Amino acid sequence: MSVETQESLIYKVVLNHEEQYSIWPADRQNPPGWRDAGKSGTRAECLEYIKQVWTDMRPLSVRRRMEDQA
Amino acid sequence: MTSSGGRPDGLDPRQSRAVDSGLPGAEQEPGGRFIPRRSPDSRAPASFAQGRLWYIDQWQPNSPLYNMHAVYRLGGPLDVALLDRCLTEIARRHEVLRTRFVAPDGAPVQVVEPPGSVASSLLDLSSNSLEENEGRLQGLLTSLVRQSFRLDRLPLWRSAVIRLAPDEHVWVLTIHHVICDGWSMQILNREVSTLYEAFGRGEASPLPDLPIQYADYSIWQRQMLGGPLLQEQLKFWMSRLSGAPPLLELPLDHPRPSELTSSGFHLRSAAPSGLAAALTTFCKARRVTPFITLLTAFAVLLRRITGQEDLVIGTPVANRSYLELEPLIGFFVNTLALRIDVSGNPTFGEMLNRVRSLALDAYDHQDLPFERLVEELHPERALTYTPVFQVLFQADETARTRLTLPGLTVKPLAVDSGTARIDLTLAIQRDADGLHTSSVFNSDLFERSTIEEQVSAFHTLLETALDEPDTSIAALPLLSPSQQQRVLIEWNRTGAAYPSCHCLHHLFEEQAARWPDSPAVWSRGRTLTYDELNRRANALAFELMERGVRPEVPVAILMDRGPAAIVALLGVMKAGGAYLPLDTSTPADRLRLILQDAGVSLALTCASASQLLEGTPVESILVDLERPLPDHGLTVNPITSVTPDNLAYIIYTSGSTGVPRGVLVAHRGVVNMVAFDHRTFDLGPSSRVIDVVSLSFDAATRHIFLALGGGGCLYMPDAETILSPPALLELMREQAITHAPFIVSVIMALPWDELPALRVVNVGGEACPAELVARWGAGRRLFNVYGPTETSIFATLAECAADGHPPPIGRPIANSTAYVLDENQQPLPVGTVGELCLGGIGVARGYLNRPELTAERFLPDPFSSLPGARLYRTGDLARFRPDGNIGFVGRRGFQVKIRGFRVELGEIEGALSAHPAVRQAVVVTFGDASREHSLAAYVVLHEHASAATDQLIDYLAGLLPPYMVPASLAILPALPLTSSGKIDRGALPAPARRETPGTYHEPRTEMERSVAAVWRRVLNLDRVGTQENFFDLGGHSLLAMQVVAQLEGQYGVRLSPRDLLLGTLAQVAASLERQSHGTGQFGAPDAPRAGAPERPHGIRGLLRRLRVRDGDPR
Repeated sequence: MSVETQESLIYKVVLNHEEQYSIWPADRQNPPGWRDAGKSGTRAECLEYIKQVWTDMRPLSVRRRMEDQA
Repeated sequence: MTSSGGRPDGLDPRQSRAVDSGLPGAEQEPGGRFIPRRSPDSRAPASFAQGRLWYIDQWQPNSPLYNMHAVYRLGGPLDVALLDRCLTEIARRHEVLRTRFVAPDGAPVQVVEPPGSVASSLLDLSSNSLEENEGRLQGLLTSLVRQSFRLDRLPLWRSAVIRLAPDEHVWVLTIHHVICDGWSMQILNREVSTLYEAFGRGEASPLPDLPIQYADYSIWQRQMLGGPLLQEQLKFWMSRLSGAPPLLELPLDHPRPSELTSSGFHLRSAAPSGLAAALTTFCKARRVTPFITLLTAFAVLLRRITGQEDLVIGTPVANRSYLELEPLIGFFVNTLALRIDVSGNPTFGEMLNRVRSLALDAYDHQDLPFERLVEELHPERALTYTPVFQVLFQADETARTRLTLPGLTVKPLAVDSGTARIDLTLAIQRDADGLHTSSVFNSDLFERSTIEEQVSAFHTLLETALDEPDTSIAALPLLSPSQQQRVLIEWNRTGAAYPSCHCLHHLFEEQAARWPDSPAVWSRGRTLTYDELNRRANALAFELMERGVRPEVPVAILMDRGPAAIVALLGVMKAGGAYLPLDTSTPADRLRLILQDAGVSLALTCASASQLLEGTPVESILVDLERPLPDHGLTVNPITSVTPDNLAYIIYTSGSTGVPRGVLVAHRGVVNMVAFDHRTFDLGPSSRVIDVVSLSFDAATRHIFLALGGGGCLYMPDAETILSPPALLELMREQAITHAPFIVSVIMALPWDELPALRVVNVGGEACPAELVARWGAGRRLFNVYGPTETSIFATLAECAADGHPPPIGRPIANSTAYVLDENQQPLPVGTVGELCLGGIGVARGYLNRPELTAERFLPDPFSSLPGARLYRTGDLARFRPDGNIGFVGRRGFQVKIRGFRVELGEIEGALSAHPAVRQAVVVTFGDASREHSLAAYVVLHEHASAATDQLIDYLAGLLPPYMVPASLAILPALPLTSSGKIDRGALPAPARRETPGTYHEPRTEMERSVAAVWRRVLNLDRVGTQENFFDLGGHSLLAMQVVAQLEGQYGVRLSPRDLLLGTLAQVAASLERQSHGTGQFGAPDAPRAGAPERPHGIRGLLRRLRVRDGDPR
């Protein structure tokens, strides 16, 4: 897909049960286990959003276990 | 054989034709005709389409490529004499069936001979048994339809009758395309049917006389082309096609040969039942023709399998827009080059409107002969594919006229003539049974299975599109449910048990408890036993824990390779932390960048490396094997809170931008991989595994645990040994190494030796050439492994057989999945190239501090049975083979464009490596960004082998298309390697350009000056050098014939068109010189003249400039 086409497609930000983020075409159903983060836009916009919100890249289960132990 | 489609809008073309006024023939002739009869003494030139086939025949005489045929099985009593009477009458009616071609002035003209009687040749096989006949029938038919014609002699068509039994015949009609087309074949059917019935009843021919003959048409066509209408059409097509991509890059199974070839295969498949009815309903509702709908689906398929958004597809038009042309036999069909914009992501319905509008425009400009367009466009000279387009689409909307003979059953027989005029033709026919797809493909490029899968994808896509036209074209499925099941599920059934509660160091600890006194790590002068290694690592771990190391805390390892580094790596993991290995040769700036990016506050170093940390805030601990061995109490392993989902290590890799990025890898995936290794490679306490890679490369971790995860010993040669292939080999022999995991470049650099102890070789890191398998696979198991750092070291594996082909990268390892997807993460058909995407346990956590990059490369896995699973996009191109193995095609970044052609550098490297003198080859691009890139090759020769750079270039020129032959080639003593052992492309010396032809060489001899004068005149140039080629200077076939005729007039010697095409001016002049002295033909290209540069052009490749499409796939 050309850069122009890719840039013009609309994506949405999605996250899974481990609060790992990714992007997915806005017009397609989320794969099982993924939910909307509430943001859609161009690829660049979605990735920029993720850059802001995904501040701890540890999976949720790892974070929780470590917090329990702390 | 089929005729072409009508107008897509369903309008009668004559309606628009009649109101055109720009035609010279627009005044009506008597009897309502537009096209006048010629005067009896006029000379009829060949039509444009005929001219092209005539030229092709000059270059490549006796080819069956433009034979057309119709074959019928006739049951019942056949009257052969009656059939011959019918054919005689048809030949009397149609002058074209009595026409041959001569070219007194270099341009072909038609010569119509008087009528005569036609006799079918009869092959009586009725004395043979039926089985015997059936057995040889196909072969017989193929040889009949491949029998060639001479265009300057009659007949240009043949009728043959094979008698299988008294009441069982096969009738074979073979006609050269130069006097026929698909529509004509139906006229023949109709006329034979009518006459056989009438003559059989003793009646006269009921067929009305023909209003005009083909020759009348060809004269009229020439006149018309001078008129304003055609000028306007030429302008239309030029603007439509300007800037179009010259090549549609279909995923090929075999590299495109350096010459255009014409071996073909004809594949027929029935569409799923119900598709025909769905198409009818859809087209009625949308008010669109089936042709447009089918063409749209085909364009979407091509878009999806090539990734190209700008497509040119050829399609035939009957080109019989005038009533008087309808009953004529002859070569009328024209080809339209439809340029289709498939960019963006429209719905199928929107795409349909796009295609309809451009097709209607095209049909309004259908009169311009395609031959004229090609002459004007003068597309970039390429010898390996057809100009303007390489795929043809055809859909027949009307039922064909069948042959009916009273008293006989008639069954058409399919005969494959084994030829293909173009890369791929897709023809859709419709009959009472439904839709039939017929594809003809070049069998030098494609495997049958690949085309079968693509035709099936076409059907699947069409089915969904008709059902849900609001689906975006990117989302239309290409695989049927059963095909999806195969590629997504069956080929990814990899579930297997693994120690799911273990971390990586636990695997070692178990072995340390079992074999405390066995050697664990060997190096020259120092070997550690399992017990010593474990105690030293425990001691270090306790120290690290005291300094605050715990899960998720990175600890850098900046140490030389050796046993101490293994202590360090185990120590960090035992403390619960994540090790971050760095090569001691890492440049200071990069080192600082990485330490800062990873937030490292603690590093383990060795004496020689500790100063590298000066000026950084990082504290260091020296890991020193000279320290006294810790006491026995340290056999108790530390207990920490680390779990398999915590990080095991962080590995920095270079991103495409050159900025290093840290890949975060947890224990679980690596433990799964180690468990798989131990099940697969027959490892145990007696295994001796060699490791030659830098610790900063994740493969090192794998090598360590190949040994330490099973009680074996890891052999770590020093840097000096690793850099000397003979020394490395000596060490392997001396130490009886059993398992050797090597990077391709490293093993390719090793001289061959028997090494009887070596049982298993693993290669990876780079594409594995076939020679490697041949050299190292005998007598042992050889595996090709593949995988990026982002999926925990390796993800797919193939056991290789020495079959002369590069081995596949195999299938996914345990608990892993592999998919070949398009850019929208949709699975592609088997054989189609797409991005390799990997899922499963091994998928890494992501890139440290790079959430946006992580989100971009690690996507939701829509195919996993585990909710929330992720998929890693490798950026590598791959395809499934029919058996489920994955073939590696190339790294996205290593595909470069040279003069507009997509070039896979690995393909050139492979060709060079296949040369007997070459041990290793690497090809890179050079040139600044503002100018065109060129290719530079670097070669390492085998010991004692010799080859000159010129020889290697000539060798490549014989194998590859000219644009793939490097502009520079250097022979090096060795290739520079990176710290991870891969070829360091950045460290190669600057290339020196070969001297290329292009400098002006003045004609010297009388003959050279004469030839130059003719070329200058014909090409309208100021000067022509002796090293130049006529076609490179802009010549084309028509101009070539002028040159041939002019030189023949001057010297009485006829130049073969081949000479002109292949040779330089000096060669052409030399040939004329020799011929005028009666010494015969000059033989380019196999016997080039001294002083002339060899040209890698082959004769068939040159056909490409001439071979343009007509309306028939057969």
